[in-house]
Amino acid sequence: MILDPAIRDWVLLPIMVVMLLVGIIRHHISVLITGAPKKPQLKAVRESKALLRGSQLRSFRNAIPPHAFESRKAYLTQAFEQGKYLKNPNAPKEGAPTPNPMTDPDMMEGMMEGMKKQVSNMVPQMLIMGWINFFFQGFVVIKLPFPLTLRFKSMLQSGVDTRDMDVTWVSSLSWYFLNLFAAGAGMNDMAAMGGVAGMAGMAPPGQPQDFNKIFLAEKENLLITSHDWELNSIEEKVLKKYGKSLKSTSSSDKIERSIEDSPDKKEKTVKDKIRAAQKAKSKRS
Amino acid sequence: MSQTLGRVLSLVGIAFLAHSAFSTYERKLSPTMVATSQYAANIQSTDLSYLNAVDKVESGLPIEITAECLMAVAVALVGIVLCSGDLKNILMENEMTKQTIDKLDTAPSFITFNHRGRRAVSAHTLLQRRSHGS
Amino acid sequence: MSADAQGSGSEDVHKYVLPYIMHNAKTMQFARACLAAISGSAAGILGLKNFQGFAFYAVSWIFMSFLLLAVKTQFKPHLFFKGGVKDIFTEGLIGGLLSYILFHTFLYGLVHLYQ
Repeated sequence: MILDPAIRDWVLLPIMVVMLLVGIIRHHISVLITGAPKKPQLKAVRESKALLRGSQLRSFRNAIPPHAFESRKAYLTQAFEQGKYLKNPNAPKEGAPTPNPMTDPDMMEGMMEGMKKQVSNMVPQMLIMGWINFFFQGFVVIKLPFPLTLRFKSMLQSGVDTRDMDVTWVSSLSWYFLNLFAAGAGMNDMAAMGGVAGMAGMAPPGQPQDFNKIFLAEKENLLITSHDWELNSIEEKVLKKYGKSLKSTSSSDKIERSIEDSPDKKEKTVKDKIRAAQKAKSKRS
Repeated sequence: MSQTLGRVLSLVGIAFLAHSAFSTYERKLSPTMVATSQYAANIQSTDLSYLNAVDKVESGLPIEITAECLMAVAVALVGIVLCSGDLKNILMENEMTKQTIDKLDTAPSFITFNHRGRRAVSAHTLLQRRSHGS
Repeated sequence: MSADAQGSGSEDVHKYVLPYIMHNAKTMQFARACLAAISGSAAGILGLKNFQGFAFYAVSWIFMSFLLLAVKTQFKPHLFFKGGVKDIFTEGLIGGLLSYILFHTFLYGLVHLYQ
């Protein structure tokens, strides 16, 4: 089968060039319409930082003296309970349904951003597809240089209903799709991300987090943290660390890293218990 | 330096690639090949495209074009590798060696707004205002 | 900083500089996109058919990866990539293949199909 060179000049190349140019244009347009990244709200930042403060107090609790820890704990638990750091403390407390995202201007903006991106992805693709369908329907454009199974026939020859034609011949619409996927896979500096890929990659606008609930959970966490100041028995710890313990320790690994936070220590003691139990068992048997 | 060299190399490679593409294309068109091919006697008068259609054209390329093409690819790839930017060391240790204590101290986590300076400054301004007013 | 969520993700934050990881990935992506375009064109010009085309892709991929390994990382890939050598040789293999097929088909069509 021979293809007319006119097909190359007036179908194959135009489709490719148009796809390329549209990809570049879309990249520039998306740069234009995204504009400056929006500023985070002061109160929202405060909200998340307060949460961070709570967790930091919990993780570095042993590095400060007991009275300091106690006063911080008291202050933070109180603040969390009263919702002192909430973005809008007057909002209905827990039990109320989550606020409609349409009413929150912040959420609204986020959704608009997503819509813009999706539209700028979809519209050009639809236009090009319509253009190809209108002008170039039924053209066989090119041949793949490798064989394929018969299942690809509907994929590669969409728009051409010829039963006996070899699978490797590609119709104009399928040439468009081939361009689209290859472009989506990394060409054009990701500018021409395909419509399909764009839809799949779109993250849903984040669920509105109920910070009141998170604060209450953080409060609970703070309340149950115990405090064990590291300087309490520092002499012994230092001696142990350098292997000069006064008391003879039975297990050797107790010497290393005694200055650690308590969860790690707890794990160690559990391990020691198991080890001791195993030792006892082996002695018995 | 190496970036410019890389750009030049990749451009040269692409140019040679284009040349080999063109020469392959021309070779298919040229009548000399038909004359030298083994089917020349039968189909001197017929069109070359007929030959292609019945898959009678020898598909083997002359060694010159193949060599040119492969060399062009090698040169272009070396050029691309040279002209793509430098990689950065991702290890945190390496990054930390560049840090100074001044940089760490000015990190936002260490800033405190609730210090005595505010009171001192406000007292100072009050005093100033009073002295100006009187 | 949050010690209560000590997963593998936060381990990475302390061990690697994330912006640099992104930067390296971008650089590699550029190199691979160019590789796919150039080697695809060459395969099309040479008129490789069937599995020769894929073999050519594999060969040029390995050549390119070795070049990157030698020139860009001086054979110390673990300094630049989380996965070390594996990242250089396997990342983006399939995505590049699509671009490769496009260019292979395109040049093959231009040079060998149309008269």
